[in-house]
Amino acid sequence: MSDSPITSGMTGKTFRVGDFLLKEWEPGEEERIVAAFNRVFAKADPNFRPRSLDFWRWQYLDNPSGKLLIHAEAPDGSVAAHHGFINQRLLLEGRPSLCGQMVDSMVDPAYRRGLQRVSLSATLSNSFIGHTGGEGARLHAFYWGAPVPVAMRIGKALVQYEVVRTQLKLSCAPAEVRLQGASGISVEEPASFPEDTVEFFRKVAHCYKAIAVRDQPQLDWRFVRHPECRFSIATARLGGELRGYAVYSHGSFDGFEEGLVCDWLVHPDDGAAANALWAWLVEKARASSAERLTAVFPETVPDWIRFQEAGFRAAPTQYPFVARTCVRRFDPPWLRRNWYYTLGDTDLV
Amino acid sequence: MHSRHPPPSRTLAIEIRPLQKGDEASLLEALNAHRGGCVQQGHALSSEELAWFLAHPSGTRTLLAWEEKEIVGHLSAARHTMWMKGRQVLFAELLGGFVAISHRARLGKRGLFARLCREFFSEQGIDGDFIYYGWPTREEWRLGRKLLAYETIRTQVALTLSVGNAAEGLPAEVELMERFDHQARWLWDRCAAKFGASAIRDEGFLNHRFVERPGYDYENFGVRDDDGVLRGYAVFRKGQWGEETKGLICDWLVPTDEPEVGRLLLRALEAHGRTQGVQQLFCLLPEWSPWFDSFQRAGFLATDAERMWIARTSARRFDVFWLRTQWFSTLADTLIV
Repeated sequence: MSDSPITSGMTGKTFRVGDFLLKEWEPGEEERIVAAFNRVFAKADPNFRPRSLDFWRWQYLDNPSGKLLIHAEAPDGSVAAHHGFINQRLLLEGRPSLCGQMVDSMVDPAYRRGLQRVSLSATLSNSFIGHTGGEGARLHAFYWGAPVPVAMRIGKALVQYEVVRTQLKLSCAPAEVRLQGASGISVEEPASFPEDTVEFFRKVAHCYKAIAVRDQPQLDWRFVRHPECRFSIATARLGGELRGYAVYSHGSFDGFEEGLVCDWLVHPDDGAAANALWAWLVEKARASSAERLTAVFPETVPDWIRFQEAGFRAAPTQYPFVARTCVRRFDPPWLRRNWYYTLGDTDLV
Repeated sequence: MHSRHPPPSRTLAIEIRPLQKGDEASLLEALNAHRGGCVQQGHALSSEELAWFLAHPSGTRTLLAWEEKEIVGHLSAARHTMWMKGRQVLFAELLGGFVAISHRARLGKRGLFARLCREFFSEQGIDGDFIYYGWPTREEWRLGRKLLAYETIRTQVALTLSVGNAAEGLPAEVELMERFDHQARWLWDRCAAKFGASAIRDEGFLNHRFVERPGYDYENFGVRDDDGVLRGYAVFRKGQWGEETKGLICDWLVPTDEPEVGRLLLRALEAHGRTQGVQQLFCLLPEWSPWFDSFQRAGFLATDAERMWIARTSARRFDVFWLRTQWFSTLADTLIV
């Protein structure tokens, strides 16, 4: 699972549409893409912090699950539109697959009406999605996102997003978490994920019909080598055997600064490991003076109930989780029922 | 050799028109023959139930597709008078519909169901039905998402409470109300300032919905002050949601600054649920309502309700984002239960 970095999504195709060349990223183009990104978003958002080249390289080029980066090149060579997808290797009904989180979408305002009748952005995404989506280890079964309302309105019209779920969060004051016994479980804070993570992931993954691969390369990329955010990792072991892990960060989500449960993987039947990791999370939250601990899960997975039984309460967020499916049977109701994810699957933390 | 042309379409003319006086018996027969339609339920629809549906205080809308003397298609909605951003408008709950098996070969955009939908929605707007909405099952959602052009307001989460074994009776402060009176509207007026949109809960609406419905037994619990003024109410029904029988909290109206009233009603609901032999109380409330959190503090868990709440809106400003965060909705807003 961890020894074959995938570079799928690479179609090798280009499309000529009107004056624009629609193409995938090639080495050396990142500087132009990041410059365009910073130019466009600085105009739209006065609080925008320019994206660094290091961050962009980490987000896309270093991702062990590969990349899908497409852009429209104007006749003068400038980047007129761009879509960035964070790839995730998935286990989908136990078989390897991919999904892509659509995160960095932009059109230079100068080119918003670049094509006579159709949106340049929609043409760009639709040109490639037909070639990169489908069933198989190197194809995207679905594309997804957690857009704010404005982006949702655009995405719905252009990319045919459909709502998988109007996402709720689970929050609790650290003092209100109901901690119980965790007999024999030892909790450690490693600097990076241990090698046996993948073995543990395999044991838990069969509980879910759709789950992004959580192996050492993927988790280290996401939580250890992130260029801007600092995460704390805890592993729970019983007699040396990995029984669960949690990732904590103090940060901003949905407009609140709080203690965030950025990732969590514990077998649904393993109450002791869960209790040990909650105790660790409470300790981290107290140490960072967080008023609340917040986690995100689908309400269809056992952790959703388990966290509530530990004192967490559900509350709305502004985010819908949306998808454009490329395999008919994995439609939004199916994803809603079967897909396991946490905050760490998103780019929101 | 096979023809490349599709088989010839049916040649009989289909007339689509609203329900008229005298159509009721044919509609009833068609609904029961097709096991669907204007009031979704597992049992056969009685003439009393149909009459009750058609007597909805804010009206109903029913379109029928006739082929000669047979109803081959149907679409219905129950209207609710709503208060929305300071004005009175109509929302209409879509209640299924059917197309006869003989006409299902083409369920696409040129099929009979699509024709019904087009005609049905032609009157949508500020002077007609401002918003159509519903709670489709997964299968209904798949069928309707293209033809009905609806969007998801919310993937519905329910609040559920396992009913304990303690032998606590109904609190003395809580009364079982036979009917709602004019004070229901006063109560709703007190609460409505915090709602962007809400069905107007007056005695006409509530009595039709929870007292006069044939075949459905609701228990309406109220708390009054010493002067007899209604301070809050909750409606209970032992009924099915999905496969299981639950204690359904079909409506809940309590000012958020009167938590003691809420506590009394919850105690009453739990005690009544026990006497009714239900294992679980089940409630839908908007997540933005302070009661959503209060119920959880009282022990309810937020669980998947396995339904999507959908809407077809007629004004961009009042889109599904707005509805999600502004509409005070409960099971009272649907005739499913």
